[in-house]
Amino acid sequence: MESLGFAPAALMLLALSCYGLGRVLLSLAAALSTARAASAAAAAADGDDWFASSRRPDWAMALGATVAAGVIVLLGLIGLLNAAILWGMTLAGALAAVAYLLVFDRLGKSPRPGAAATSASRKPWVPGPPALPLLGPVAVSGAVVVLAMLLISQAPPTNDDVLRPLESAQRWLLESRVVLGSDDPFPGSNDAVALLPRAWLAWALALGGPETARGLGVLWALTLAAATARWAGETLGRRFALPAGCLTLLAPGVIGGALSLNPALPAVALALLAFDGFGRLDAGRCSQPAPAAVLCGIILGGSLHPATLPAVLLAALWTAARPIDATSEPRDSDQPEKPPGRGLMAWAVAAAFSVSAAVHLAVLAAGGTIDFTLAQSAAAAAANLPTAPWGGPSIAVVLLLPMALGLPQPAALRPMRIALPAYLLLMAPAIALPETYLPLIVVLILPALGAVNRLAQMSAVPRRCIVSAATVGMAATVTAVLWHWAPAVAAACGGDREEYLLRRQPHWSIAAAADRMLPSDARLLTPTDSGFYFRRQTTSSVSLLRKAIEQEVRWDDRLLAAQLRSAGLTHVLTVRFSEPRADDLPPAVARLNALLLRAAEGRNPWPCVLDLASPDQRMRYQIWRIPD
Amino acid sequence: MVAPLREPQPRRTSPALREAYRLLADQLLPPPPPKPTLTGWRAAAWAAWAVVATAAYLAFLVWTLSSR
Repeated sequence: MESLGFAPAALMLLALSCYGLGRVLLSLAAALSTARAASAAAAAADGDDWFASSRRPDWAMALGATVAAGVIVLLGLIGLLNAAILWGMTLAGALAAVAYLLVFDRLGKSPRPGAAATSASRKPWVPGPPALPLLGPVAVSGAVVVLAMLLISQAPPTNDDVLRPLESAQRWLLESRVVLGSDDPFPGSNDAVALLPRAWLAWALALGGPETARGLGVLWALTLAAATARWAGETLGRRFALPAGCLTLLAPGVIGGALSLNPALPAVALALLAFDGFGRLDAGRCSQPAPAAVLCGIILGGSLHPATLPAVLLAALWTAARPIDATSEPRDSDQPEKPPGRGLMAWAVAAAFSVSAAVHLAVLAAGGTIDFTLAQSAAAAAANLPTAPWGGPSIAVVLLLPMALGLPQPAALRPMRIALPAYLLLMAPAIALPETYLPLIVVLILPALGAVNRLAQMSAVPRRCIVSAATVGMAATVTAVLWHWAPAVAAACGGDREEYLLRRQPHWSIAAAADRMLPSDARLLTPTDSGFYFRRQTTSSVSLLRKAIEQEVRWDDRLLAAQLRSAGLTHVLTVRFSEPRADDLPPAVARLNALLLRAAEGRNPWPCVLDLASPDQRMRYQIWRIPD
Repeated sequence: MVAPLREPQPRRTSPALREAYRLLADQLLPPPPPKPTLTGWRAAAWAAWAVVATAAYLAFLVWTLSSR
């Protein structure tokens, strides 16, 4: 086991590397474009230049991460995916980030302080708007929840919805190529959804092991928080950005998605970030619209697949609702000039579609499935619920949204009156899917913040009452997260990791012995849901049973060995419990386990390769070689 | 020998300097907070709502966490 602290360090290195790669791409795009000096100067003077602000970490990291995932998939397609190349890419990106942060950015800024001082002396200082009520508690709760998620992710991964993506990413690394759908118990979903997240997971696994890969979920949640912050800052004002991001992190759907490595989370986050870029482009707030449009398109295109369709729908509804609402307003007589970014929107969309097409072609090249319906993934999601501690709403929804309904809302939120009901109406059947409710969380935070803003107009006593109640609610949220994952927190904070693994992932103890005893070309049938801890190739019983149902195979004691051989298996793992419990194995798997034991110990016994009791003596494992 | 006591003279600030102070204060000090507009029974009702909603939320959290 790695020493504590290595995994978070590797995660930070990965984030830094994404940032560095993004900055390099932004610089390249800026250098290649024919800079429009006039609009650049105007936007820079305005102080709200989208392209310059894209140096901020969220944009650069989103771009770097998307392109890095594309490179990893490409390496996987040509069979060159190995740790050495990944480390080289990471270090190059990290060095670039350090060079930008410590050298290039300072070089660019050095002549400016004098100019800034003269402009400051001319402009009188205007006090900014007062801080939002609740800002402190919201920011502290958001920070604590991020730390808690990082801590939880440092426990050895156990639950199956984490192990499955990790197992798949590990398979990529072990085979040095992209492997899709080889042993997925829930197929039928679009493999494009998982392609880029798996690439990031493989990257993190190569850098720092499973703990780093699990910590990646926290980065995904932070990306969604950044997208919300951007949207809130654009719609309501900059001072709403930080509380919006923190409230996003306090939503149970986001916490559950981050800790179960749900691939819908980064997809929705990147799509929303790209739409925010489109919005700024459309408003003409960008010095270099051409590269910005293409870069936006790349970020959106990397995640343009069924999981982002609800986010796309929501953004489209919002955009459509804006002019409808604006007709009731008195229009300005002098129409502003068409911003330079608008004409480039077609280029951005073309870039998004071509990147998305490349991702889908990569899926096809790797032998994955492509399915554009949400229904299949709904079935998979129902079978594989995110491990949120509670499936309910966040405190922002319970406490602040009803207030938002009762209090007048800012004019900037008017499009929501049309966009939100339309979205709920269209997506109601699929509202339980993460890809559907994650954009909803982002949008609902805006009126909740509008309600928080109204608190400043209240007299002191009721305001303090509401602030205290919301603070208690947010503290309870953080406590609930820590309470639910208390064993993981204990294991991460120096508890006995092996004891934790044995309790949560009992079949873990057999994996190391199986790897030692089995030949390298063995394929083992395991009763576990995931073969993450096995280095040998495995097939889970669930997956085998599903294929058997599909192909209408009827197991036969005499023909069992031949049937298993024809499924590509060489060995089977069986388990016996000294004190059986109802939840030891799922019923179908338990039946298959009993059938295997009967066949292996039958008239023609199978050769037993390994016979091992678990450390607590409750389980006895046997690995049998399937006779030819 | 002790110097004779003199009555302290009130300081005279020129009107121009006073105006300059006022302008400086306008720039440096934050504006006074606006008077609350949401007061009375409406504000009290929202405060009561916040307490009730948070209590319900806490009860829900405790129930879900203890039932698992």
